[in-house]
Amino acid sequence: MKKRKQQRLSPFSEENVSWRRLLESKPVRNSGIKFERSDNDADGMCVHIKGKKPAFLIPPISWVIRPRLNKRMWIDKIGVQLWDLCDGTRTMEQVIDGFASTHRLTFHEARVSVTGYLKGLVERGVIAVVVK
Amino acid sequence: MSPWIWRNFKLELPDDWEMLRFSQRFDDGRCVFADRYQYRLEMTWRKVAGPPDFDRMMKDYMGRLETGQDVSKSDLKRSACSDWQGIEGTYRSVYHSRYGKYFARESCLVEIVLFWPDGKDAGLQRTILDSVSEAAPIAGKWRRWQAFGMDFLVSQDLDNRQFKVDPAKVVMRFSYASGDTRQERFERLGMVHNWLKESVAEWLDRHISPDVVARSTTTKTIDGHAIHIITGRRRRRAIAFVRHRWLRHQAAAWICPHDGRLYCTIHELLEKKDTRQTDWKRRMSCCDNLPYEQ
Repeated sequence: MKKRKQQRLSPFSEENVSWRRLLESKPVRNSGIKFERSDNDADGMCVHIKGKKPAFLIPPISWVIRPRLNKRMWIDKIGVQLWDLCDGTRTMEQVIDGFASTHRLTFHEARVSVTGYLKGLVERGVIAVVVK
Repeated sequence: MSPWIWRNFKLELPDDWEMLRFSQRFDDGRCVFADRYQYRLEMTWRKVAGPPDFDRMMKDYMGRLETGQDVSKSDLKRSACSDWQGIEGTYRSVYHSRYGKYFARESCLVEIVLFWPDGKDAGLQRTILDSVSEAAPIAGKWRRWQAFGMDFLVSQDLDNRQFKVDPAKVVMRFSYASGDTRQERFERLGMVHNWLKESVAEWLDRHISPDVVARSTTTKTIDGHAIHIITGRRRRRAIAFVRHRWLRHQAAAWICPHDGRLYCTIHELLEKKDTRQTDWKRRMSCCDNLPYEQ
């Protein structure tokens, strides 16, 4: 209740909201993954992600239960374009600019698309984001 | 500077400022614009009975700000820019300008908050505030909207608005009431080369309701824009409207060669009584080379 009252007191509903830090970060590929590219980038790309062995998987359980530790993920044509841009040298802002110019989007259209897509890749361990 | 017209208010903003938040309401609402790094401008509007007492309003604002711990009294000062009244000062380490003005035709109090993370630009502030004006109805019956790369005229009596804005997909639908099939819809779609695997004419034929019958298709080219038009009829579903069972359906779509986006406009109005059906024109523009038809 108190918090709500404080919020109402503020005459500025948008307060210094900035995503500059996100734009300065660098998306980098996970060096531990393998990928197979087809001749035609339009088909996409297959990424093999090495999973972590669960802690409970010790003998004798591991003699019986043998889960598949390697996961496969299919990245579509747009994902391949982003994969190429995320080479570890470009900042997120440069990746977004590159994506925006390729697809003739505005900066924020590209920002929302790129960050949404990369979020999925980060969750799956395909890429990581290095924040300064 | 790029022009925007939202809720009958026209303003000009730097080319790289984009609308990130918006309100569809007419009585009160707000829009927020941002450059590539942060929010830069917030516009709020509120219907009021008459011109407000700005002196009292500003005192109240300053009082509310000063009760917070993020601002010292010396930081805030009353200010005026052209015929706008406001206050300026540092709040939460960012310099803000907050200005208000009453617009008589719309009976609205409009407030503009500008955020200056890299220091105030007095010239830009004046340019923006001077550009804010009321967009008068066109020919007494159309409201003009200019947003998200679209510029279109919509019938003044269509008060129900449903906007859906996603990256590379903007749909702005106007109707008489929620659920009413009579509508005017304006769409702008991007990344066309990724998803459009057919001709624009085929896409439009598929895009409009399958209930549209007696379709006739025409194509005309204006300054490199190949505009595909489909006209037809659609039966209304509600039995209550038995006297006006048919809607006249008119749709147009084209790809603008300048920005590569697909534009689509769909109008569905009563076939009888509605005189506009006879003079239907494409009231949507994508660039200077394709002005709308009035």
